[in-house]
Amino acid sequence: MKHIELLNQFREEVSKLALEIESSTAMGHFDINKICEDLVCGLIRELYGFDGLRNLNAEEKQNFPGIDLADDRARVAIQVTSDRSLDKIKDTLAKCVKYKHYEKYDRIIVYILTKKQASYSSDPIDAICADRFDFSTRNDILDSRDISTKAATAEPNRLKAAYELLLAYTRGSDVGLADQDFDPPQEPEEVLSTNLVELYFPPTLFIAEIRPELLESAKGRKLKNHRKAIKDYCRKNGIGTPSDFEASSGRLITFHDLEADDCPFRHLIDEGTIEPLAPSDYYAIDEPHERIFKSLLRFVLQQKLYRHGVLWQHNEGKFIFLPHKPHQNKRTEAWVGQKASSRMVFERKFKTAKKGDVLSTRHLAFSVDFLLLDAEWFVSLTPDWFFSYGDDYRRSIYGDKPLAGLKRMEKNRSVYDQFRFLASWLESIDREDLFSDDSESSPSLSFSSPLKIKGGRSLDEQLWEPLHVPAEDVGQERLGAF
Amino acid sequence: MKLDFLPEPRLIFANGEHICPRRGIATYGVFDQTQDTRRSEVHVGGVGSSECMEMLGDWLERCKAGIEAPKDAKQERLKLPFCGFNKNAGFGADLKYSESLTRSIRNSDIAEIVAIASRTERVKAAVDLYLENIKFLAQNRHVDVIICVIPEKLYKVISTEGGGAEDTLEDADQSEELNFRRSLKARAMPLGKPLQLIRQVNIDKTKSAGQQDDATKAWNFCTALYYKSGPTIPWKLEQESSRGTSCAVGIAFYRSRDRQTLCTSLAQIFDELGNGLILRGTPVDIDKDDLSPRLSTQQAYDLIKAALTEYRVAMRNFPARLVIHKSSNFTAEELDGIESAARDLHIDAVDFVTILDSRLRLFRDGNYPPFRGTLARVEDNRLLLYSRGSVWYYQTYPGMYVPQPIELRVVKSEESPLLIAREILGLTKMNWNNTQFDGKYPVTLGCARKVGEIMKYLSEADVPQIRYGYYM
Repeated sequence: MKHIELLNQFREEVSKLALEIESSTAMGHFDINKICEDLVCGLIRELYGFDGLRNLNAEEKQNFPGIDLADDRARVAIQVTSDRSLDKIKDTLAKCVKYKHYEKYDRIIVYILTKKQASYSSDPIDAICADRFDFSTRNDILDSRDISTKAATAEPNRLKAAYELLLAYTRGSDVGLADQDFDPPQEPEEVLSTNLVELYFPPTLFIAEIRPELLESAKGRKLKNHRKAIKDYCRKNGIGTPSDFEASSGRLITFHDLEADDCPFRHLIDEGTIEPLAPSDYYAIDEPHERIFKSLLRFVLQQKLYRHGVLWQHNEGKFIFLPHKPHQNKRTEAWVGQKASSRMVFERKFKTAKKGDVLSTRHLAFSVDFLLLDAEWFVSLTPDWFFSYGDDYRRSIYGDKPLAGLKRMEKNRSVYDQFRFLASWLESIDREDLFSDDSESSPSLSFSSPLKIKGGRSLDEQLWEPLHVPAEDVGQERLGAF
Repeated sequence: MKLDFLPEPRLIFANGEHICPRRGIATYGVFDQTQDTRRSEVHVGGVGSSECMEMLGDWLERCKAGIEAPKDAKQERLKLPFCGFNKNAGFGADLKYSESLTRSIRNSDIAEIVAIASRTERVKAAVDLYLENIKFLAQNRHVDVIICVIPEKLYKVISTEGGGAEDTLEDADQSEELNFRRSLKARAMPLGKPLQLIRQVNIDKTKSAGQQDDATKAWNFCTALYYKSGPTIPWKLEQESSRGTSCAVGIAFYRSRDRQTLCTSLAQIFDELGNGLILRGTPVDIDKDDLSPRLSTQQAYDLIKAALTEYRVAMRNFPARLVIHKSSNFTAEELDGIESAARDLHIDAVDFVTILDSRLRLFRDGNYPPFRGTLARVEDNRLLLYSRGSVWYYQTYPGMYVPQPIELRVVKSEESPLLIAREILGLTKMNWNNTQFDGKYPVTLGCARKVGEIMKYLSEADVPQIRYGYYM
């Protein structure tokens, strides 16, 4: 609750100030007492409701005898001092008697800037006051602890005003100049999750020279894009070839065992040039080799995900979830985050008026990047959305507006949940692949849990205004109409 | 991977420092208040319909006096009252505006333009109409900056749809090819008076729905106005006194208006005080592999040498260190050209940093995103920086989308990557068009698009103004 937080901050500042005054006084620096008269005046005015309280030393005359502050309407006078001794109290009251302050003020208060004594003897005080006015050693001698107690019952706006006044004195004229207002505290630290999951690939990479005639056009010209040349050749000759390979500088690079008799690439390469090697011996050569290796990883991922109903949209640079069957209007996937739940990854909606007409087709989507960090490979998963039209799921230009609306409403938690879903789903398809017939014939990637890092600055969201989070799918309901 | 946190960079004002431009100006005054050369009056000219001019007068009066913060503001530090633009408040200068400094456009002239069928012709006619009046004021009146107010009926027919204002008052019509704002700013450039464009609806007291609150609007409007009015410095970045002078240069490119592939280089130089200077380079080639524009060794040399010469004119000395920011990778030719220019001018230290949007993300387990200033060291010279995010001082995340961090690749540097990142976070606060301090990109690159958009309306023969105030 904001009020409790404010109260705690107020108490902390008040006690810090008391300590500061104590040490200044101990060092013989008494200026601080003078400055504090105005501060105490303001604090008591706000918290005790003495709205007419003023500093007599400033308004009447310097060194006003016996008292420093007074509210003539409330008939209260206050002496502000850092001396907590009984002698000082007696001296104050004696002056009040001498100058007949009791005629104008019904109550005299002594405010101790440091820390008042545990108790004060009443007898000598009663002797001074006699029957002229009452002075209670219990109620009329105050210090910062009494102010803090009073603050607990003060109205919120009074407390806020008192706190700001306190800050203005402790930190200078501009409220909020302390470092703790500028930057979040170092402790306790938070753990942040990255959008990276560790990636594992087969231990051997195979490289072989591509048959030279495949890299030439019908007119004998050398083709620049070797991967495309192979794809075109296979298409033209009706040869089914997996797409998880890369080709560069006349060489084919794949995780498929090129030495195996049933390797689908055997007819494309010069068998005498096959070279098995550790992947690191390839990607560590230089940046272009690393780039080609990353590209190979993407083709392998593309092939793997296609088997699980996720399509690579090349123009958009995104993977998109598809329905399992063409006419299926919804696809949900079960996953376990903090609890077991399911997530809609594909949804086709229809117009209410014309039930056969598609209103929108929304896909959960994500983009990927491969990263080599400290000799380990990771893939970053960046959640996204995709709106399509038609049977081949082409990008719908009408989807831009709902997409922007959807993203505008997303908060950290919703995107984090999408990422956790993706990471969990990738792990789950790894398990499926393990038991599938395909897994033996096709090399694949596998994934582990998301990478988390310690050392984030902590944010207690209870203390901030809550960020509005729309309920699941409310955004799409509203923005789906296009 | 390791996490760090960069404290919010401090800004220096006339009598103190703070992290927030608004609070800093209100409490300590604009930085240059103590400088003798500064003028204490800002003469503002106005062009628009007579109704617009009346509204502008009212709005400027409100700005002069100060504007209350919105009553329902949940984040008081984000929605600060506007301190007032007068000699006794933060800007320490008086706004001078009177009927004699305005040029009213006749409603019948506006109606004639609205009636033109072709959009291109409409925009051209509107630019001509405003330009004619700007020219009169620039040549016959003593004005420092000219405010053009666009009536709504005209705005509707010369802008594209859906151009909602972002952080500033002037962003509304950025997305079209024959663009009124860009064209007007480019054509008025030779007159030597910066322009401030504003829609009528933004100063209409009776229309507030869907708009920023008036105090925030006044902060952004007046700070931009003050900056444009002359060689002024609203605030500067705190610098470690032990460090030598350094100059940050952003290299960017823009395409020609005919949407052909012609690309021209552009340098934005920021000196110690945060003064932005703009330099046009020469047309460059596009790399066939990644379709990025590339400077040749000579082009890089010429551009940086010209930039440093401009720096020298402003500061009377060359900087001890040069930091180059670019939004794509540096080629060997570019590195070579820039280093040669620095060497010839006896600058020992040159740092090269590529700044990109990143696909890497960090997630908190909550609704608020990570703090601005969160820095992940991905590799030794590769950093992920959240320049947008939850802001402790504002006690909220003042953005709409989940923030996207920027990636810093320190290509070559004499300084530590952490210092480079700290400097970049500082430069995100140096955009005079926005007094909310959590900018996404450093000003060296963040404003390049805006500058390029106007620059492309200038012909080869036109001499572009060097001050950033003419482009914002």
